[in-house]
Amino acid sequence: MLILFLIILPLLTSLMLFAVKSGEVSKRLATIISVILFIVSIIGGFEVWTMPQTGLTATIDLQSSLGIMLDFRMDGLSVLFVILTTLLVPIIVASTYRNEQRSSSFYALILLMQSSLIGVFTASNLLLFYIFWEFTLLPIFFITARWGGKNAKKVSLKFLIYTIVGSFFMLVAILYLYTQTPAPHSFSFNAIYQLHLSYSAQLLVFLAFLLAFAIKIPLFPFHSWQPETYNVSPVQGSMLLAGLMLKMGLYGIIRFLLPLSQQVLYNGSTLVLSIILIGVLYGGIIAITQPNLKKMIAFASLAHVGLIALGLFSNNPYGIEGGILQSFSHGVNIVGFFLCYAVIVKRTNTDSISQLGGIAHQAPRFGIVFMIILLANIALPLTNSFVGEFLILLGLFTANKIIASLAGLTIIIGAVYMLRMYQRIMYGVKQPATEHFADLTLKEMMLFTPILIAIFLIGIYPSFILTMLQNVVH
Amino acid sequence: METIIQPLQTIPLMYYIIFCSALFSIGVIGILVKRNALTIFMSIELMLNSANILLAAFSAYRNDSSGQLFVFFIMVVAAAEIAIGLALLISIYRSSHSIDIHILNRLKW
Amino acid sequence: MVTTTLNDMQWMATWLLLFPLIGFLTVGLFTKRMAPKWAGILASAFVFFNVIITFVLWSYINTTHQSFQFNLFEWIQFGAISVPFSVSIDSLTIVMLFVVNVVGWLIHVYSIGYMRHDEGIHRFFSYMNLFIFFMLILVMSSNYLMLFIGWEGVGLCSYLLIGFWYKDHLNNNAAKKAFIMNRIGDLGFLIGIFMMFHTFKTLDIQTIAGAATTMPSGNTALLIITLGLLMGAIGKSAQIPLFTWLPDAMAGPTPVSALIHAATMVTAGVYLIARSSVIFVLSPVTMHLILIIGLLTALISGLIAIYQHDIKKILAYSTVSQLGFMFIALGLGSFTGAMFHLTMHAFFKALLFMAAGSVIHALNQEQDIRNMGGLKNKIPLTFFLFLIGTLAISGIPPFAGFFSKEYILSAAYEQSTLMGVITTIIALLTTLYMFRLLFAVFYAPESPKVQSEKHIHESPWVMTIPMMVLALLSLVGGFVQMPASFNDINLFSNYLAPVFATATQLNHAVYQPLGTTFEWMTLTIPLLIIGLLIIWMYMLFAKKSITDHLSFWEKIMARKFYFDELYQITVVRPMMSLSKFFREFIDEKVINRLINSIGNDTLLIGEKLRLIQTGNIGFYLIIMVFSILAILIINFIR
Repeated sequence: MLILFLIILPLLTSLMLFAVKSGEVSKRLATIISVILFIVSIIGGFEVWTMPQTGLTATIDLQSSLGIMLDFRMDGLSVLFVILTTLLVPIIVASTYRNEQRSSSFYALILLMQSSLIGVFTASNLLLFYIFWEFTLLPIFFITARWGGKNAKKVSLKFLIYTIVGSFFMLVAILYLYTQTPAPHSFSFNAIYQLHLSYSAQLLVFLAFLLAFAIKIPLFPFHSWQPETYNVSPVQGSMLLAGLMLKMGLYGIIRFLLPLSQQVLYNGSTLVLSIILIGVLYGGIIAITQPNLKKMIAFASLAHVGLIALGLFSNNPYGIEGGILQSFSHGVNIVGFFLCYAVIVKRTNTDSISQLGGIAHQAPRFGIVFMIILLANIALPLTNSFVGEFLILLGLFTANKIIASLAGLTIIIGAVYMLRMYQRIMYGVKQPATEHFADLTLKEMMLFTPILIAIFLIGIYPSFILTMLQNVVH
Repeated sequence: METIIQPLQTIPLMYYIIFCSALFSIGVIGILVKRNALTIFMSIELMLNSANILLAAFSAYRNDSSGQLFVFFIMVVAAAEIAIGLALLISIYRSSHSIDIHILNRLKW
Repeated sequence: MVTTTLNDMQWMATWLLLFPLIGFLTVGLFTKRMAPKWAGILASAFVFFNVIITFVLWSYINTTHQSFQFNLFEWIQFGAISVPFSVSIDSLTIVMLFVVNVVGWLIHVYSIGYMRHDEGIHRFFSYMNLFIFFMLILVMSSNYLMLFIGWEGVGLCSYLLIGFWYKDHLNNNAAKKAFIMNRIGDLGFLIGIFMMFHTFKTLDIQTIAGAATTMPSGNTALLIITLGLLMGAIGKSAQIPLFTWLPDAMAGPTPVSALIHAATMVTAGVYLIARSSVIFVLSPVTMHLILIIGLLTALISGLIAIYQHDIKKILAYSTVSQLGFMFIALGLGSFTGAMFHLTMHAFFKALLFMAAGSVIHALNQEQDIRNMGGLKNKIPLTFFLFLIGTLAISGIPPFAGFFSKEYILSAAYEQSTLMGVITTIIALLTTLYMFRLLFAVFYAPESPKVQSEKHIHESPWVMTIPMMVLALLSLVGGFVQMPASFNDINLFSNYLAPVFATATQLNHAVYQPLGTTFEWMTLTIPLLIIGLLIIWMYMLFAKKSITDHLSFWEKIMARKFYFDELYQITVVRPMMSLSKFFREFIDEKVINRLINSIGNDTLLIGEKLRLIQTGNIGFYLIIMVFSILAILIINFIR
């Protein structure tokens, strides 16, 4: 029941919001609803914690003869991602500024997105998963195309088609799996998990799913939609993309790829890991000299999620658990990063790093907040991402020592580009663009607070999450 | 039916087949070669009718009346199709004053 | 001493961590409105509490002869992995606690005076307390991951404090360089940690040491582990090749240089290796490597120091050199020697930096020694303190440096006479650069700058009293450990003996103890040479100002052996070019082109295909007929 509530409430609200005229009213309504959802999801989290084996379920039968049911399940893994979603959406909704005049359909689309995201994370059969997966594209396409910067329509169209192509392969694989289940055929996860596929079948399924997820996350070399799309999209759109949408791909890897294709992974792990590793280093190296702040965040994100993927594909408990934890941390951190970006752009109207400088002196509080978020992004111990990164590298090391050592280079590269950027933007001399940089307002501080709390809470005491995930990691 | 079939069966079936094939081919060539839209319609009718005759012949030779039933079907469908076709043709003629298919080629790229 | 239970001790140890953390938060958040001095007083108070606790713990360990370990809380735990936040206190820890808290406290007090005119003073003190917090985590942790937390934490504080005056981009560059070089070492450290977990399935220091004793010497796993830890230590303790950040770090305020880059953070590497003595002893290859690196570092940085002009840079290179010395001790297996020198060095190096701070302060931010001179009579107290520091560091009895260097030198001689001689020669370099510095600053004729300065005055008491305390420690500190030929006092080594017992046992290198006459020779001959060197330096620098006629080799040394330039060419520039290359060529041209070409090709094919729609009905009909024929024929053939 709780799950259905989480999905239907934002859906209904968004439909309602489409009808509302005033942008301000709808923003308030959206914020309230999303906060309610957050509280509900925390409650759900507690319930799941108490019954780690089964989690919550909700089932509606539509056409059981064909095996089409609305079947939802929230176990430890799902609830983590759901909480991430409900945590970040209020922040995203509230982060628009008064003078930007977003119409109410903007907020409606964000809520719609939230609804379909939660659907993705809680779906318990493949068809439902796929439907929600495709459905998330709708809001994000409109958000990017309608409120984006220049070239928005072209870029978002490219993004849309690129993603759909990948998903198409996934659909083929899903249907194939469907036919493989013993009659009566079923899409449900349980049935799928029971399958024993031949090696070649595993390989094909693996590749098909991998393609879809690799495009979504993105993983090198299927990442070319990402920098432009992040760049062109409005800040909230980028937050949704980087913070939540790509988690779908990671979730998919954990849910399908790993359980279904164990043999393939065993044989081909070196190849897969190497390619992802190239992406991690590639993204980090490019971020060093990227002049556009938003694109730099995009490449940094590329490096980070590549690392998460490395952890997942290392195929051992440490790596996987680290990867899951890191997905959560990355969502929080990257949204924090984009919030800082929003603060900067709002005041200076530029996102080119060379035009910024000397902000820390005028806005010390912002300087500290930005520094904390930055340190969280480079996985300083006592921040949330350190635990995840450590576990990932540990797991990776168990799988393949050389790749783990090379992946460790990312801690150095990460420090390089982050500190470089921070120095150029915050320290040094004032530039014309940063003449009057007001410090953080109360409202902005409120937006940052949950992120900062999440950073330190998980950094210092991650046990509660880790124990919850233990049962999921088989 | 017995009285009609007996004399009919004295004509070898092969004659009917050849005859209808010839009729059909004439129809096909008519479609391909002719420029006038009305002539093309007539050729279509010719093809349909050749099929009709063959069906009737087979029904006689097999002593099975379902063939003749099918003939009725085809006649009805042909009539309906021609009605629509002619209506379209008249509409086209009204706007472009021609029924030469070499001129009526605006539905192109 | 009051009898106290183990529980109370655990509480005290926890407070050791809590006080600086609370200090960090309170000073950072609440002292902006108050008068500047309160920030410093508050911060120093918190560290002073730590000093008291240190003494309490010390006496407890002394009386009960027990070390203890306890968990604060479970940090990471699932499946096979369990890493708690746990603290362990033994005599090695107490030594480090002493260094960090006492020297740290003295420097805090000193900074109250030094930083009193700085507008960011509360930020300064909150960072200093944060640093103490992380450093304590580092020395008190009982597993390697928690140590790593402290390790990275002090790196962060170092970054924040070096770049304290962030308006100047040179400071920021120095801070960034320090952090990144540290991180390079940290990567090695992490790999070592991973290997440790892989081999031992735990990260607890004691457990690993115990398990390692069952392994043969030279085991590959241990080799990788120790190499990894060594790399971390090289980065943190500024050894070759990761040492160029330390001189640049002098861009930070002088108290920062004193605390972080002389006494505490840079010694973390030495501490790490000493702590892991067992596994290092079992990897002779690594031990040799440590020895070589220590020798090279001490030699090269000593040579560079002779030709520098900035007072802080000379002291910085001196620190690198002394750290190299400690590494030599470690490489020889003399862990006690390394710790002894670490402690003594903390005293007199902090003293020297603080005195240098006084000089800079007196001359209104002047740091170039060519612009100094004749200050002996103008600021006699500072001169006196500086003299004590110089005597101590050069290893002149009865100051502390003599005993600590002596300990290391005898370990070197025990290995081989050649090693002893080489090490002695390197040690003599100290005399050269330190006395050059002393004479140039205080004895040489006054430079124009000095003559023009009107207000050359001594530092206020809040700055000089801590210095005097350190001077006292530099004087008497050495007496806890005297060589056999003197009185054979072994307080220090006995204190640390239980910690290093296993390691010493496992150390297969056979050392012969020195005979008494030999020992006397090794003591007195260098002293004679030192005397000669002092006279030489006096003649060169006390009488006239420094002129810059350097020979070719001297120029290379003055230019720091071109290390910075080397790194710039081999690492920094290629990285930037690679980044640009990736961004402009591969991402733009190759990948984007590929993807866009898919879209474009689809459009192209579409353009070609649409030409089929000719609109010509006859054409369509022909195609239809032929297709049907084809199907029929194919069916017929089948």
